[in-house]
Amino acid sequence: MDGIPKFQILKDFSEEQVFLNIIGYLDAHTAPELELALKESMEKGKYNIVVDFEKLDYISSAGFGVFMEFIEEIRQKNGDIKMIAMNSKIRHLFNILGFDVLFEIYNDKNQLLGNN
Amino acid sequence: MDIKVKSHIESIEIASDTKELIRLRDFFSNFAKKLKISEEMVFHINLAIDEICSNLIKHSYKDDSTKRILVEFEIINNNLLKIKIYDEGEPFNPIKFNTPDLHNHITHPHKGGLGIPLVKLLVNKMTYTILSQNPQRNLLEIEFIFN
Repeated sequence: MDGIPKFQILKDFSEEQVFLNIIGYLDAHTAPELELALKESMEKGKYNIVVDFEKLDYISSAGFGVFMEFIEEIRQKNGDIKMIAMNSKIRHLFNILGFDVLFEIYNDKNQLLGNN
Repeated sequence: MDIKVKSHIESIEIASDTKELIRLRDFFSNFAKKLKISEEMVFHINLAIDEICSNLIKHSYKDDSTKRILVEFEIINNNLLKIKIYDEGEPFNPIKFNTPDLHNHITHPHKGGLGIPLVKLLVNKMTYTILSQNPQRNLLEIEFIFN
C-alpha cells in the first residue's frame, strides 16, 4: 500500500486553458492538494480550468467542496471550472447532488473542445 | 416454525486521522465482496461511512489522532447492512443537525456542510444514541437495505 500515491494531480499550465488531471482517491485527507492546485492556477492568473476525472476512483464531499469553494471567485474573473471524463459512479453522484446544474461536465476532451 | 436469522459481523478500529479513511474504505470494500451488491452501492456505502468519520475526526475529535473510532459491520439475511460507528468525542447528532438543503449549495456554492445532507440521501435509516457521558461514548447507526 505504501509507496503507491493515494492521490496525484498532473498539472498542465502551458495552454490558456489549465488542465488538472486528478488521479486516485479524493477525500478529506487528499482534498488540500487539489485546493493548492486550484490556488496555484488562480495565482498564475489562469481561471479557465479543466479537471480531468478519468483516473479518479473516488470522491467525497471534501473533494467536491474544493470546487464549491472557488467556483464563484473563478467565474467572477470570467473563468470557469469544467469537468471531463467522470466514471459513471461519480457522474451519478454529481447528478444526485444537482452539481450537473452547477458545473459543465463533458464526456471527454473532444466533446469539451467541440463546445468551446 | 423456526426462523433463523443469518448474521455476520466484522469490525475495524481506526485512529482519528484522515489518512485512516482509505484503510476504512479498503476494509469495507473487502467485506462487501461477501455481499451481492453493485459496485455503485459499495461506493455509496463507503461514501456515507467516510463522511461520518471525516466529521468525527474534524469536529468531534478536532483532529486529535490519539482518539479512536470503532466501526462495526453486520450483514443480516443478505439484505440488511447495519453499520455502527462508535466514538468518544463531543456529541454530535446529525439527525438533529439542521442542514441547509442541497439546492442552497447550487445557488450559493460554499465549501463545507455537504457531508451530512449527502449521508441522509444515501442511507435507508439513521439513529444516534449517547451511550454514556462519563466517559463520553456515542453511537451512530446507519442501515442499508438491498434487494
